[in-house]
Amino acid sequence: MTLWELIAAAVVIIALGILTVLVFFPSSSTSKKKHKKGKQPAEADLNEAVGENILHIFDDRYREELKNRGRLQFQEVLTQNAMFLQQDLRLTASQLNEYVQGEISKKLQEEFAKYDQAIDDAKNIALSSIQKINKAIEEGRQILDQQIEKELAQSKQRIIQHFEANMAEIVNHYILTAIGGQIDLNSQLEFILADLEANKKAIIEDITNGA
Amino acid sequence: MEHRENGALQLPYSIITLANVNRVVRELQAIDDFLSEASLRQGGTPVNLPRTGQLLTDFIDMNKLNLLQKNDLAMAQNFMVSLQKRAPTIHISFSVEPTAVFINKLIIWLRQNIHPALLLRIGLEPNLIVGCVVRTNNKEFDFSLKKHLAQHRAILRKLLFESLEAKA
Repeated sequence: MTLWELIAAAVVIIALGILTVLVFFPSSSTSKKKHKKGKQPAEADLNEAVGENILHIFDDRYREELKNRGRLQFQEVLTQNAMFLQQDLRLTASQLNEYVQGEISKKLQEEFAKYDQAIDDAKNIALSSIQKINKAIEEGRQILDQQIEKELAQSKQRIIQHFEANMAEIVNHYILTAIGGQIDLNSQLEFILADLEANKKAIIEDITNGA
Repeated sequence: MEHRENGALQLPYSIITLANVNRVVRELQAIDDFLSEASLRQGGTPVNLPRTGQLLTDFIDMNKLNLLQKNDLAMAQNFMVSLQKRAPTIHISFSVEPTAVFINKLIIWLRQNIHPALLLRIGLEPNLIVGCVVRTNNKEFDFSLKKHLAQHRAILRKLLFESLEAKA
């Protein structure tokens, strides 16, 4: 309930109070005057006198008294309405608080739910991404392993082929390094003569027929 | 020492290389010069006898020559000059310097089996390690360990891989 509504209610109440005072009191005085006329002439005279002097009875003081009563009643009504209004306001504020709290809670819960959902989605995406990366890394590692194994096998094969191709020189070099300074020709004489004997015919032919 | 057979001159085993032959030729020439000078000299003039080395001595002894005889001297000179020009020579390379005993044994075998007037040229090839390389006029005979290993590569390979597998 707004302030303007309160003011309008107050104006209506005041107007009703004034109408009540103006309508109620004249009728009561008239009925009393009729009632008294039938009983006693003195009273009738008095009533007539009173009627004649009504304006004297409802003088300024009386009207002032009525005004005061109306004011008090108006103040009471105002106080009651203010109290009701205050209660309504408190109730409204309380309801509003509850409503706002509920709305905020609801909104927060929704937001938290969305946030949780977003976090879950992000987590799922991150997990999926990590899994993909791990898978890619694993595949890369396997490919790399295969390449390395292939390269190693090829390198090993090349080394073996090179070794086999140059095996005689390698062993020769090894022997030269190992015992090169300890060669005794006398111990080789038998083998040298055997080789010469094996090639004796070719040597003789080349010496005899050669240029 | 060998002896002359069928009238042909023999080459002593001490004469091994062409340098030895050249030396003997020079000494024979010196003797020839000395004898020519001696025939022309007058009595009482000093005479310087030519020196003869061990190689010539061996040659003379082996062939029982008397170099004071012109025929023997001429024959010896002709023989040596012919060797200078046409002696069969083979080149043998070893990994180390061969000893005199070794060369002597080798030349005996060569003279007995290849040619009686064969001369040697000795070379050094340290990377041979074991064995030798014989080069004649047109051919080369590699009797080195390297060649031997190369010829028996399969055996060497088998032995090496067996050794590696045993270690593994």
